Amino acid sequence: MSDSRQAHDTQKLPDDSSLPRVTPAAGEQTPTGWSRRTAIAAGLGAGAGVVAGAGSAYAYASSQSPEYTPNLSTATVGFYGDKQAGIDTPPPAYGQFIAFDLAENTTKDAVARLLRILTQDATQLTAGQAPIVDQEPELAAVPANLTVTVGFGERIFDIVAPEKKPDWLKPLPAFKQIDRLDDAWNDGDLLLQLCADDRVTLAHAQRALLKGLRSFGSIRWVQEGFRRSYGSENPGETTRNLFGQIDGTINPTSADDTMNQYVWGQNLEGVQAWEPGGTSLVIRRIHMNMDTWDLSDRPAREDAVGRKLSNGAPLTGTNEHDVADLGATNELGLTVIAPYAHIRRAAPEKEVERILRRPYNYDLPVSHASGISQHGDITGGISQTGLIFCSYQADPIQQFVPIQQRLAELDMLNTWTTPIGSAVFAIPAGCREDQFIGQALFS
Amino acid sequence: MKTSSLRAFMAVASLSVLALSGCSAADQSTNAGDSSASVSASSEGALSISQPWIKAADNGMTAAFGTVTNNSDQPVKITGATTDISDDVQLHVTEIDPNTGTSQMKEATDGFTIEPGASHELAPGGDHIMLMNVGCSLKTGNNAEITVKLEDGSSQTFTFEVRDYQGAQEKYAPGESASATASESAEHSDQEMGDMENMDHSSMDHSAMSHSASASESALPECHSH
Ligand code: HEM
Ligand SMILES: [Cu+2]
Repeated sequence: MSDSRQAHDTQKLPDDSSLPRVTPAAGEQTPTGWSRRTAIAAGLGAGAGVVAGAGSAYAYASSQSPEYTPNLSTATVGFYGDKQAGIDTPPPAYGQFIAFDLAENTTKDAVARLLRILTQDATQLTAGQAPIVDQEPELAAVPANLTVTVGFGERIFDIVAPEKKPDWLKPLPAFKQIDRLDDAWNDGDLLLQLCADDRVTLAHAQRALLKGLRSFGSIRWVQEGFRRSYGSENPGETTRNLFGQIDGTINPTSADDTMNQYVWGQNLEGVQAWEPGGTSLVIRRIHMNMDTWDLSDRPAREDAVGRKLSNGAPLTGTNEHDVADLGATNELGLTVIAPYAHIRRAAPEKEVERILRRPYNYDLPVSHASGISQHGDITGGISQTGLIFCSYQADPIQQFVPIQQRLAELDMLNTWTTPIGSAVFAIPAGCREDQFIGQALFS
Repeated sequence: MKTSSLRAFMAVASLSVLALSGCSAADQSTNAGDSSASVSASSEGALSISQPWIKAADNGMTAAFGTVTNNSDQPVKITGATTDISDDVQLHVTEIDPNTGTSQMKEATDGFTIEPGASHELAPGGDHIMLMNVGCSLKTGNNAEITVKLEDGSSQTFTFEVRDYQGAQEKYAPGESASATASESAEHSDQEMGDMENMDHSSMDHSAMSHSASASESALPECHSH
């Protein structure tokens, strides 16, 4: 792993920039399993239909494989494909989640117009090009791995194709033990998920896209998230959340069939995607009480999750990816991984109970803040911190809800965490060059 | 020069996306596969256009933009334009009034001449195709067709994508009469229409922009262009 970074420097861009730029030979796969979509030269390629979409083969990259980290001015993630980008592609540094509400009398025709311009503008922005009415076109020139992912709330289906609405597309059941939901962060008719490695790129893309949507309704909420900066982590390194925990160890991966199964609903008994190439997104906004977290020492923190803080290894192992032994007991006969440990409670009880977690941190500015917030508080103290917990799965009711239900009943992490927002979206399939996202609803 | 090749690329990209967008509500869901129309329209004849778009409007006036390229080896002069959605289409130029700093648009009495291989940009704040008395509502995400007339008597039809746009607020100063001013924007119907004589940048109420989502009473039926 250590020399994989140096390899970037020797990684030369092909001179013929009309060719798709792909991760070199060893494959499109980072060790944690994010598929690296074909990166294409900014300004070229997207129109030539050369994007190797999400359907391409995922080869597992050895830790020796040179990772491709281009300059962000040419770093693009292909827009077209049978699946939308922004889900099984590596999470860029910044994530912006925008829920949009459609105006009252929105017609089917209006939804088609909306999706058409959204798709067109997203296509151009993600390729590093200025959309047609961009008034700050110079800002579009740095694509910085921008992805634009579109999700549908219930109303899109109600307006366009009620018969196609997935059964699960509705607010999650209440988790009374833990939920303190604020409607300001709940639900929405349309979701835009924008991710990029450059904050200016993201701000510009958000502005450009929302300008185009202005006449169709209003913004319901925006959740602004971040992870480590581009280049701060070794390729494939599991990120840490603001509790300092390695977060994302157990996840479906494109290195094997698990991404296809759990996220895209392929080859998974009893679960199917609502449409081929489609999936679902549950966004839970979860407050993390940094002040009460400070009260707990490292052993207690590790005990709460069942993993070590140093390297994320299960308390029964030595390395991050060692399989947790939930049955192992200590000399007192107690399980090493506690009954209330987060990873025990979150572990699947049924085969289908697996989800793709792709969270972003939030850390809001606070003014005139002081003191220490108390147990159970979701305001106060000197931080407004948490996770935009994004969970992708083919069927949220069968896959996500049982996990969340178990965690609501018992999970030591609940001592410090409180869900304050909840939304469910259907993610439609990706599209080809001559289509718009969501077009299948109109046929 | 990098930008011009980029533009050319984008024209292809945008047209191929656009092409599936029939204008009328009834069409949209069914003609997704019929994607040839607007591409071929621009590839026949001396002129091609990249990034063609027209500012959305509920009625009244609006303007069309894009970069027109002369692909022939002869100069081409655009002398006028026609469209189904307006019976009064003019070619306009825009000038900054040296006294006030505001943009004023005037009819381009000489048309637009494009040298062989050259491009002519139609853009907010610059030259454009002005549509007066638009008799229907141009909604963002739809298309509109405009036929440009050339000096040699031929014509070419291009498909313009309708887009919401807050700029292009230049005053209109036909001929010498400075008092008859108007905005390209037709979004501000209602009281602003009545107030059109005095419209300029500073008096625009931008908060009124957001109303267009709900069918405003003054909005005419959607334009249909095929
Ligand atoms: C602020 C809230 C949360 C924090 C800080 C948190 C943190 C963690 C950490 C540190 C791990 C262990 C490493 C890993 O496998 O990634 C983990 C695992 C996991 N978490 Fe969470 N988590 C949170 C909320 C949730 C929620 C709401 C769910 C689902 C409803 C969830 C589901 C899971 C699952 C499925 C695993 C893997 C379990 C396994 O080992 O099989 N987490 N989480
Ligand atoms: Cu004009």
